[in-house]
Amino acid sequence: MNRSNWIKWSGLAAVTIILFLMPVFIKNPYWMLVLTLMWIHIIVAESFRYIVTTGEYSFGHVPLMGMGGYASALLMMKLGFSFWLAMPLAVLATALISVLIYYPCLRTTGTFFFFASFAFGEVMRLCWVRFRDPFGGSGGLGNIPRPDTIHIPGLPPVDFTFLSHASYYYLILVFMLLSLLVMYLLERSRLGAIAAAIKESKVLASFVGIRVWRYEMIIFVIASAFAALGGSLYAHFTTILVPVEFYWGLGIYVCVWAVVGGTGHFAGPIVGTVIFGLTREFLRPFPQLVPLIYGLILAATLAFLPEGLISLPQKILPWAEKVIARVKER
Amino acid sequence: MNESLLEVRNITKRFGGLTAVSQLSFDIYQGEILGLIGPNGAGKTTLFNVITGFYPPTEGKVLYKGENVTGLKPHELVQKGIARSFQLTALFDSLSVFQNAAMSRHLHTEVSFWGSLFHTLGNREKETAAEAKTMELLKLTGLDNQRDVLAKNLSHGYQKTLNFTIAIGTDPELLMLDEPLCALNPERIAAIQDLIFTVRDKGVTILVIEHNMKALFPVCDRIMVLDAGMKIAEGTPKEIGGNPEVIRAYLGGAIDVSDRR
Repeated sequence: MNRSNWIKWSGLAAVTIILFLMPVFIKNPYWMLVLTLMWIHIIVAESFRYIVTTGEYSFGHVPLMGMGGYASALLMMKLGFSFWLAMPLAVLATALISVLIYYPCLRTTGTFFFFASFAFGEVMRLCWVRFRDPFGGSGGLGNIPRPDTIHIPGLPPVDFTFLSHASYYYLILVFMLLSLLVMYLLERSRLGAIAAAIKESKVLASFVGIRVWRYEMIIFVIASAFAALGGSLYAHFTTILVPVEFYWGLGIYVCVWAVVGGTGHFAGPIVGTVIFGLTREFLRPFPQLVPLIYGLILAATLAFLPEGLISLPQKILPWAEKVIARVKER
Repeated sequence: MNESLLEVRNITKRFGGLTAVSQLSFDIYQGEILGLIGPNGAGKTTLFNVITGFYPPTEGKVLYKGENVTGLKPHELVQKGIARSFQLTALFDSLSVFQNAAMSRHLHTEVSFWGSLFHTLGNREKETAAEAKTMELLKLTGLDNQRDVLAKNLSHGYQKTLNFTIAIGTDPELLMLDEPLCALNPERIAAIQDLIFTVRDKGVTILVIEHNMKALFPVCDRIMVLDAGMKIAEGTPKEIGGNPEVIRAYLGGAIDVSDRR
């Protein structure tokens, strides 16, 4: 292992430890909620970027997150399943639904793919509004049960009932870290190289023998599964699901987080989500300013850092080196 | 004459009222280099696109080794051994030369999904073997000292060469080249001509579309002339170069057909 790799991995380990120690330092339950929600958003933004690695922007992603939430909540409420069964089943169900949605969408590309996926997402969302049974109509679902208590022999039971307990924070943190790890490994694998080729040129990719359609489908289904995981964690965290939460606006936000952070780099969406999340919290006293500031950050990033905030150090370093050199000359 | 590798039978392609290729039949024989010439709009590229599965033909069929391959998808044709290069260079722009070439080995890279996910030891070996194979390919086409340059930053001549590299990286039996020699300097033309011979000597059959007659004629065993979607002449470069009708219509004067070989 070379030096830069060593720095990278020890840095990641340090960040992970800090994230696990967060509940010790932060006593304010409000900030715990903010962070927990942010981890869910990171899962969704990172899986959105996973779709973007093929060059397509899907606006069916956030409705699929909602689908994961509804499926998981309904499996617990109507069929009395345990969370630990309902959640994987919801992820599986959403993955299957995503096949149905992306099958027709994949006949299109670029702007048309964007609109087609948007339309299918809206159809899904309007189904929740239209069918009061079982989705609860525009009022949505309330009183969604929290995850069941885990009993590990020899240890005190892990209870997710009260948010003041840090257990829910840890639950979501663990799922976020696992999701990121899996998506990172997938991107580094052969599948990631194929996605990069597809993004560059679908035509050329097909002429080196890549079955473009099949690989895009695989990637979209994996991304949708992670969106569903995010949705399921969200549903049992907030205990309320309302169709309006998953409207196109959230889709735009997820896209903005990923793009401002930088879709070209794995860490981009994480950076974007954290920066926008914190910006919103610090602007709590001035809620009317939030969209304005968001817009400014977006416009400035697109104009000056088209590769996203993640490319900022690269841009600043040569400039900083010059300044240092000049100072040394004097 | 050798056996036919590709048989094109009565291919017609219409776009609405326009007939781009009309009742065209010809054969490509094992091991030869066949040139395809004709003025702009003669239907050369349309013919390429029909053979390589981009568009289905309106009528007719294409047989490859006696098997009907009409309307197969590009990735299926590549599996059977038909590869093509592009007139307007198509590359994986933001990937390096090496990554471009490595991608062309897609069908021949035996890397298991789980192996590549977790970087297992067995997988490492296979990857090293694949890398060596890719470097061999780059050495063959003379791009080995540009391996880390991004494809989009290459000069035009090298981009064409890389396009060619990707096509032969798929280990084809039939290689279809769409204007590989056009808009290049004499040095690059000579390099690509040599490459065409090298690839042919490895047993690959080649079909070339070209506008640069002077560069094309010395390369080909046979030439076919298309006009308005129809075949108007077929023969050795000498016969075509001396055909008064062809000269008058497309070549605008006598051509030097001195053999480079």
